[in-house]
Amino acid sequence: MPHSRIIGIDFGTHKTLVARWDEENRRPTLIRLRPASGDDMPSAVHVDAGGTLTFGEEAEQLGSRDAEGYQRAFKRDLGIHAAPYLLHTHEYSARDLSREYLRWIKALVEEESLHGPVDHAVITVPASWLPAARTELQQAAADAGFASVELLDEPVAAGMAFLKSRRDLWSEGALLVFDWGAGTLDLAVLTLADGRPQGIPDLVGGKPGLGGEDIDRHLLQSVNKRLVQLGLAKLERRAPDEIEHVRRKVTEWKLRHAAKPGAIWPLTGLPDVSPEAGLKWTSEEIGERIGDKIKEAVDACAELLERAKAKGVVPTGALLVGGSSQFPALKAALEERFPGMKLLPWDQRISAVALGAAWQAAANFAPPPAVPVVVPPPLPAAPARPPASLIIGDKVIVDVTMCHYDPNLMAPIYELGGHFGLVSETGALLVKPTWDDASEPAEGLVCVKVGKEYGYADCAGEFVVRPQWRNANRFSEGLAAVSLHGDHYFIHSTGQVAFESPLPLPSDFSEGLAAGGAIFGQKGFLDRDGNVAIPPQWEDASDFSEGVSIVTTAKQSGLIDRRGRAVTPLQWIDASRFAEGLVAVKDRKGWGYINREGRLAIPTQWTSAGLFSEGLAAVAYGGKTGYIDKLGKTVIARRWEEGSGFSEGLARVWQGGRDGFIDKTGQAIVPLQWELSLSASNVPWNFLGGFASVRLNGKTGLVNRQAEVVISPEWDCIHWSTTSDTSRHSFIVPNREVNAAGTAATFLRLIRLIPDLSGRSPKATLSALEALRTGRTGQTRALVRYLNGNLKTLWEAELPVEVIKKD
Amino acid sequence: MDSANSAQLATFLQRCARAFDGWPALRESADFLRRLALSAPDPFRVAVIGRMKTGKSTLINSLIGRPLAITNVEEATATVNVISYGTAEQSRSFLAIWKSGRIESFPIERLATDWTGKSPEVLERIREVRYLQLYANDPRLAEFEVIDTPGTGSAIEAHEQVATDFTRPEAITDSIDQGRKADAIIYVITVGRESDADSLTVFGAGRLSSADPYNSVCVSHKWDGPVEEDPYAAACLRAEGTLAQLKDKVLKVLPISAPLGLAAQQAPDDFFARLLPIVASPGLLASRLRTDERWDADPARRAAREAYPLLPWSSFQMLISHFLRQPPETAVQARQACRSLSHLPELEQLLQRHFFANARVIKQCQLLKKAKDVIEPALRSLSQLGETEKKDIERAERAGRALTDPELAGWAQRQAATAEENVRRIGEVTLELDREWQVHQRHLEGLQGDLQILRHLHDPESIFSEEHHRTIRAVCERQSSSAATVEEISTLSAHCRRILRVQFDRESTSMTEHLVRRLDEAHRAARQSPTQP
Repeated sequence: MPHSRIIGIDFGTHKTLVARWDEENRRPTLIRLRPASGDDMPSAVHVDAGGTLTFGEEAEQLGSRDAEGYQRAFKRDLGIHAAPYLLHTHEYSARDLSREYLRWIKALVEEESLHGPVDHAVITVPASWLPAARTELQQAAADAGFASVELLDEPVAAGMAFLKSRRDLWSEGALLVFDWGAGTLDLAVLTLADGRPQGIPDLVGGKPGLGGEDIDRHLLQSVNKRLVQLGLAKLERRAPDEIEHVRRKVTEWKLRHAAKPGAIWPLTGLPDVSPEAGLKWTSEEIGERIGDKIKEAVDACAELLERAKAKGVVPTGALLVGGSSQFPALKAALEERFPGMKLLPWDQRISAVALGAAWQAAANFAPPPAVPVVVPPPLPAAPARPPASLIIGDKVIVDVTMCHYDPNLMAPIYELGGHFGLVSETGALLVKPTWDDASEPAEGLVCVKVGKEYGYADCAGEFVVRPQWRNANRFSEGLAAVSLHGDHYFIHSTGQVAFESPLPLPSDFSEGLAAGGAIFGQKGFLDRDGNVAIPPQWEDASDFSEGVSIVTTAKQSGLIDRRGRAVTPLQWIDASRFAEGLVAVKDRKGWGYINREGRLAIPTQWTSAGLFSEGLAAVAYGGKTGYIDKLGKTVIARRWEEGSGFSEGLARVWQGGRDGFIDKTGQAIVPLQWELSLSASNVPWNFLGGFASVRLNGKTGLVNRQAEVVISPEWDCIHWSTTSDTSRHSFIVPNREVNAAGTAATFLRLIRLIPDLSGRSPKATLSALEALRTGRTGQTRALVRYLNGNLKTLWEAELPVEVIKKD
Repeated sequence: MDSANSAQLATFLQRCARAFDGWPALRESADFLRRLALSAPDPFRVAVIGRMKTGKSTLINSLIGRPLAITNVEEATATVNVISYGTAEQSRSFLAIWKSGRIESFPIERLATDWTGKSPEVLERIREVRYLQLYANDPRLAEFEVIDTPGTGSAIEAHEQVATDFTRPEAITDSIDQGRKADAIIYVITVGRESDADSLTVFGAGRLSSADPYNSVCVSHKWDGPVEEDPYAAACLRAEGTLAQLKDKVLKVLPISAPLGLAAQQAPDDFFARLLPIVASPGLLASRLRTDERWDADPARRAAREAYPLLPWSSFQMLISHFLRQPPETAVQARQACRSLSHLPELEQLLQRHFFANARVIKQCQLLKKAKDVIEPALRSLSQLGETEKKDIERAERAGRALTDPELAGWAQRQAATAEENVRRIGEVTLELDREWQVHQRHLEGLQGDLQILRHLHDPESIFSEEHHRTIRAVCERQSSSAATVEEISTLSAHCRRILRVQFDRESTSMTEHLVRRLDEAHRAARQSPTQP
């Protein structure tokens, strides 16, 4: 098979470099565009009076005599809707010149190096470029005759070339790309995403106009100053040849002065300047002039790094790219100014962008892989247990042992053999089960654990945030709490750190505030800017909902507003959480309900009071549970031992160790024939999407609304949920196949191990657990939240894991 | 034209905000742009910032012509004070805009009683207030607002002073915030009292990203200290050094004496009249000028000084030594001499010529600059999102090929279609917004470039010869009455291209490049309407 002709073009404002993909050696090499003198080609065009176009080096030479027909830096004007250039009497737009120049470059490399037409090209553009400029360049390239062309950001290309040559030096963390070319200084911050360099959209900086030519100009000005002092003609008034000569001299000084400290560089070759005139500069003088420009560049760097830091990105290394970044003084200046940032050594400073472009071109122009990425779900060879069915909608899905079903998303999560992947709505396997843990999707992202680290994947299984955190919560209001090395941060859905949480163990954001505070220490709230909005002062504080939060001090509970002020004095012994506008509270008379204004809506009288759902709440008195409405009127008479809230029109009730489901008239729809199933990690209490879990002989199955068994009770655990109300499952974390009793035992073990908890009396702990089991009181929400937020951490810390394993 | 453009820009920002609403990740950007668009019709704002006790408030007073900002030797301005034009009636009260959003009106007298001092009540008020809105019935304020800020300085300094002085660390952030929000900035430094390097940190570190030569000026203050031979000349010399440090950040560094400027406007005639006979017979006056005690030893001298006790002693010293060198003959002359000694007219002229005359352009520039920091990253983020979606298409297409079940394959196709639709939408939205964004940017860059070139034509060392000035004016002022001919344009364009080849100064290069652009535009326009001569 003939090799594809693949190239990468570093189309610079002032200079162009091209690299070709070498199929045999499987790496790119630079094409020598000027066989006599170098790899690079000036990005310049000349038009003579007759309209004949000349490019590159030749255009440069013609331009020094005929400035009216000379134009360069036209790339800079792409996408900005400027008037066409007037070259002699001809008008050319930036797009025209870019097209013609690229057409010429293409012909040049095809003829000199490729010996055939280009199959695929990657052209690099500044990271700061916006869509208009990109579109225009893409069109110009297409018009120039490139059959297949794509654009790539210059710093990304440089990063890619670096990664390919020095993979050992960059395996994680952010990198600053310091690209100092002839025309501009471009700065960007790169991170690694799935092993590929990637830019961060708002971390782009630099200084247009500050480049090698500016350094030349700065030196030429110094020459001018001396010429004027000597009473000689300024450069501007001299012949083009003389100007060119001085330019070359100055460039030579610039490149060579540093190697010869103390050397003297005379300006010779001007007819009116005698060698005795003393027109000479020391290396140090030249260095000083260059130093002015280096300082400007380093300042621009500091500005970008400051912005990066504000976003929580701190590059640990810097990659120097471009012809102007070779000054030893620059390295010294950068090292001095940014001691924490290592200058990464490599030898492709000039060619990096072109080489990186060719790497990218080769990667993207490879023939499509023969093996499809998606494979059908592997069936267990010899199933230890009979396959079960899960019915979702009208589809029967076999072999799904565990499933989070999210009707809002196309990609639920399922677990197979202890690992998690994604299945489609119809049960097709989209992502192989390789994740060690996966949360339910929130705001379009799944929190995923790989090894010991957490990251976030989108619902196609693509990592949006690569696993790097020790602990991670789901996204809420655009932010997610994560932790590493005991520090807590909030990150954006791009993975960028928004800020470090000023309070430990923060919860998710709700209505712009997130609770946080030390384990059983005082809880406060932080705002979306990372400031402490309400200083820590409560033993427990619920998420804000409709402007109020339920807080608990050592003695009292009550409501606070967004400014942290008590809505009414904290007066309740205990409080649960808001549900349908009411929250159960307890005083010495028993449980009742208050509204958001803190006023008693249903007088305190019950021995227990559940959450309102679908307009009803389970309440108990005298050992019997019934249901009341929001006016406090009994709707279903008290007759059961316990009862849950209503969901999908049904509520679970139990009596004498057997449970079933009743409707809102109190009629048993699913007869009370199943084993009492406690609300443990993976067992929903109620009907969800038309199904509810039931237990028999310690194994779990599913029934539907017609009381038909759809999955026979022979599983340790079945787990699914909807996003409509995930909060009801949020309190038990370990996604392990543990039964309810096992989970409770785990808690007990943990509690003994946690110093903060061990101080509590066994009775208090047990009552907390009991409350946890029934999911009813607010007092124990601290425990619930604590376990919810920290079990993972403790688990990862392997502190309780041992204990659990021994169990 | 410009106000219409400002409205267009605001409309564009609103459009961006609406477009960004579609993506949760850009919600904050959308909110910001909306707020920015709403601020477009706000009056031109000049913020006066600088470290503590550099005399920011005195400067404002001298510019307005009467004491207004809270000035007191003991107490630094602790709140952000926005001073706007108001009727005489309005100026009798002021508003406190609280952080809670509440707005409360107070009689102006309460300013001295409720907002000065160190009592816990005052401190509490200052903590709770966002800013104070003051009104002055001064025609000079009709077109702009002045913002007096608490002092900036290093956080460490603020911290050190907390025990002894009345300073809040937030005051620094407040000041910098105001600087960012302002359209133009007067940065006040004091010479000699602090090291130059230190006092310029705020500007130099780029913390005030909105500062630029076209909208910022630096005033060096309190140079009128000990009587030297010519303190002003010494201050000018130092100002030059400061300017070198602040290059690219301020237009100019001007030594000013605001107390003298204020005295020239506020001091009673009696003050100058009493000074006349005293300076007319110098005698040993120079030695009497060393301390205020010696000066006040003589009742006549003392009475003269007390005729305007608000003038600080150091300024008074300088005024008298100036009078000793050039004794005025009348009180009117003395007042004029005082005014010119303050060098305030130069600042006024500069503000007028560079800030207020171009207020609309500056305001638009600032608006654009603030928008740029949000729009461009947002567009880049969106494009990146588009790239991600493209990968989704690919993946879904591959899945479609691999799935044999027609229903599953159909699902994969739907996935691909959705992603394609997203890519298309993102592409359309970003391209359309970016194109319009470029037009706005271009337009404003053009206006700025025009101003720069027209200013440059006044420069005796202009790089353009006299013969070209008319053509340059014609293309930069763009008035059809004085349009240049195609030949003139072509000649100048060719000339500029030649200049570009041999130009060694970045500023002249960018200026010439701008001019070439203007000429190319004019050339096109002239050719398209051949009716013109």
